[in-house]
Amino acid sequence: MDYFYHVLVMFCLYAILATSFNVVIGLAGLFALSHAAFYAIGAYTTAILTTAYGVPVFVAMAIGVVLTAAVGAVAALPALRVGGHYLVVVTLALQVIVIDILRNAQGLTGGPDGISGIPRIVLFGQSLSTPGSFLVLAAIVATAIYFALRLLAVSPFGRALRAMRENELAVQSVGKNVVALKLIAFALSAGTAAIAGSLLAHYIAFVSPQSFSIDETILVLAMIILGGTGNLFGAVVGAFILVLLPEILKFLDLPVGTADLMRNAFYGLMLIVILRFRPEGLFPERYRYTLPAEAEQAAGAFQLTPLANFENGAVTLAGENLHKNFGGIVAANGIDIELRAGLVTGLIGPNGAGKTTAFNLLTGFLTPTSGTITLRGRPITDRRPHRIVHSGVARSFQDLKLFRRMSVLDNVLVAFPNQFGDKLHNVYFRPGAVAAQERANIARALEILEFVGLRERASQEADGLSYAEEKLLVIARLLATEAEVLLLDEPLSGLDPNTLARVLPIVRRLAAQGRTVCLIEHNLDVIREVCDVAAYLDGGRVLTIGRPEELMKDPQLLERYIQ
Amino acid sequence: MSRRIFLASALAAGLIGPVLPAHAQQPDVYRIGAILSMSGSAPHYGTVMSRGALIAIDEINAAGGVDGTKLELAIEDHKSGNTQAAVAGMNRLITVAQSPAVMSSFSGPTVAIAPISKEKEVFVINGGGVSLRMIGVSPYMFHNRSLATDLAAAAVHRAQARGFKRIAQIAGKSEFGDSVIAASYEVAKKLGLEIVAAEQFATDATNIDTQVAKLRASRPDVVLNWPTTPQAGLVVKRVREMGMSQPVISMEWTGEDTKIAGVANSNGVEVATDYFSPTADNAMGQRFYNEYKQRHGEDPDFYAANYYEGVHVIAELIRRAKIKGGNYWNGARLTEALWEDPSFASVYGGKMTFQKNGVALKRVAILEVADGQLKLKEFMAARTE
Repeated sequence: MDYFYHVLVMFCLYAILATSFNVVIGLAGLFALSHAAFYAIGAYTTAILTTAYGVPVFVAMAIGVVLTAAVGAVAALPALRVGGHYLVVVTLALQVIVIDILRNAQGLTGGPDGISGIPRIVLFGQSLSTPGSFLVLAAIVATAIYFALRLLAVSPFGRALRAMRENELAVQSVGKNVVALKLIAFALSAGTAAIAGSLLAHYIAFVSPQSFSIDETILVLAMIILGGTGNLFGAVVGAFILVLLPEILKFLDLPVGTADLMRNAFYGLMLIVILRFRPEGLFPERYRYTLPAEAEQAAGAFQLTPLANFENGAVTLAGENLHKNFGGIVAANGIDIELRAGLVTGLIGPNGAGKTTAFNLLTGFLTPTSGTITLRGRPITDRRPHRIVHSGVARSFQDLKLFRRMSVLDNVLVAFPNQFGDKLHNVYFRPGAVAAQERANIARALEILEFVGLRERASQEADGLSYAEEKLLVIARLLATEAEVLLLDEPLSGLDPNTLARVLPIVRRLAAQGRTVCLIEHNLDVIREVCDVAAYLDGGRVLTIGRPEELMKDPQLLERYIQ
Repeated sequence: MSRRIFLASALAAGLIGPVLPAHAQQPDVYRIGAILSMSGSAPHYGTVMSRGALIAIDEINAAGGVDGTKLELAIEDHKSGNTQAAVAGMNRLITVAQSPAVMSSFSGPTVAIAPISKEKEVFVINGGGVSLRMIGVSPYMFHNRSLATDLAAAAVHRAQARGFKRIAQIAGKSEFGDSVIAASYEVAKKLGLEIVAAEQFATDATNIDTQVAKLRASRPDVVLNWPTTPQAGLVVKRVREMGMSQPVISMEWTGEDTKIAGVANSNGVEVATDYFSPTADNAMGQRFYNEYKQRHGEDPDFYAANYYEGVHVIAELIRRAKIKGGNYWNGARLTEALWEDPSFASVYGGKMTFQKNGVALKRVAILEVADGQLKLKEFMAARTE
């Protein structure tokens, strides 16, 4: 039975690796290829500490996990600046560096010969030296990790990770800190891989660099792709298949010499066939889900949260003499703008006038070259986008930037402020409070969707919405931020008259209830109908500002824009 | 038992549960396990090793097996050094093939399966790996490939045989380098030779001029060159370029070393190593050579020879253990039989003798590099000191 138990032990270890890797790859959408390096650091740390320094096994394993998590967080630093192909290259480099260190730091790691004589784990006086005895521990740890990561995946934190995967700018625009999300995702994934590594070290009692090559990273990646990216259960199934399949293939009667090469070819062929018919993996990530009945029942009519200290017409967000240069290109050339509570301000101007740049400067997506931005008189010029959202300023994007591979409901839910479940410690140590708030948020999100007319679409994938519905979802997402100042970048363009008739009252209602609303729009009829104030921008500055009907009579504007 | 029936019962044993008692007293067939590099980056090793082993199996079976019982080879793949694959293979050999005797290859996989060998009392013989880490890790583990320290001892003897008195040695800064330098010191001392310089450099160094300058300053009669490829070639290149004309004796030399050192600089370099050559006085070697050549159309290398030899060692141990009766088909009894008489016929000619550390001492070949080719000069008797 030892062989059978051994295969199951390896399945447990690879299930840990696949689920932890899926946190970075599938949930966070960070295509990093250094998972085997983290696996190795965990294995080598416990191997070195127990064999060279006599550190007790569980203490050494814990140090390995913490150290690897720290390395994982450091590895995330490049991910803060680069993504896509660049992140692949950077993390591949990390993988190569770690293996090179293991091969060459002879005194510490044993070099190519590795480290042998790693002590076995002893539990309740019994040494876990056989596959059967080790399987119990491996299965318990793998199960615990699976449920811990699953809890994370379905939590608001996991939802924020998926939103980041879908669009990094958009997730910042709803108040999420992408730096923290990336650091935590990497550290968590690396630390969990280290658990698998330290278990492997004490199971085989030997570690060598050959066990942690890039091939291991690719194998674990294959498990995720086969099982289903973003689906932790799929990753476990992928691990089960890819650990078991080669063993089953060993029972094929093939000629000695070429047998293993043929088995490998057959193994590759089977993977190709499976992915041909299930390109998203055996268990693709679910975008639809059944809404909890209690949340549906709790949902009432949407009411905006009343604002404290609301003073109609008072300046809330102001930009003064804002400049932004990109090398020799001047995008903002001294923008002066004041947005007032209870009023809808429209920004008009030709393409390239600086309207979207103004939004980007006011919301922290661009840092001004000079000038100041204040919110209720307090400077917010150097704040990062998510902090500006927390202060009460939220925006939408001209190209919508929806979280397309998430449900309509999740698109709204992710935008709620102050979610307990955004903090990892709450996910694990205050699950009751997180669940209770989540139920309330679902009810509130359903109210918002009802308000914008998307209630029936709540459980559907956002990618399946019509263009008009997408625009409505953008407004719903913005409403969920509960921000005091709402900046909408062309929210009405491309909408049919019927939808316009539904949206315009929403905008007016927001202002009527004390929100400061600013929108970029090219349709002057819409500007006339919905805006209290309009600002005309050109050449990177505000040329004129006033009531829309007055602006329409401005000869300079008439000459440069309207005619 | 037909292959199909074996597979069916193996599947049952492996995946459902043990249906046969482990290591039956008188098995229908002696199934010998082998954990080799059958795929991955270096499948060549697994190919030649398995060929060598299969020739020995067929030869013994053609002669009636071991006292009438046939041998069978069960091969597992460690994918060119993957330790997890080696451990899986070892567990499979024990559970499914029920082999109490296994041939291993590569140092990493061999060290990785050592705890299982020790705990399950599985006899292991390695004919490929050379790491010192394989020594003393399991009382049931043996090696019929010379260790680096034994080859170093042979090189010192070679230096003495050529009349050199003052020895300089150079090695990488590693456990391997440390051990060969220490072994050479010991042998030189016993032979009354003087070690005038012993230099080491970082294992990935590309500039070793400081170390070579110190060798030159010590005015040695001979340079013992311990690094492996490609640094063996680098040492010879810099030794010659820095004006040293002393003879060089290496432990390893490949075409890559000749490329680095240059053909002219490489000429005359001697290599003390394991080397298989079927000389006229070696009937076992000739038999193996002819069969290998006939089957595969090429000359066997020493890896193939070691695994051919390994099967013969196991067959001999089965014979010895069976005579004593009882449940003899297990690793402990095979090991016991080995220690009763640690000398065995060697495919390299003459006898090889397993030392207390489990490593067989066999004769060492002295090769010489001439125009980029390695030519056999002579064999030296096995010795450790």
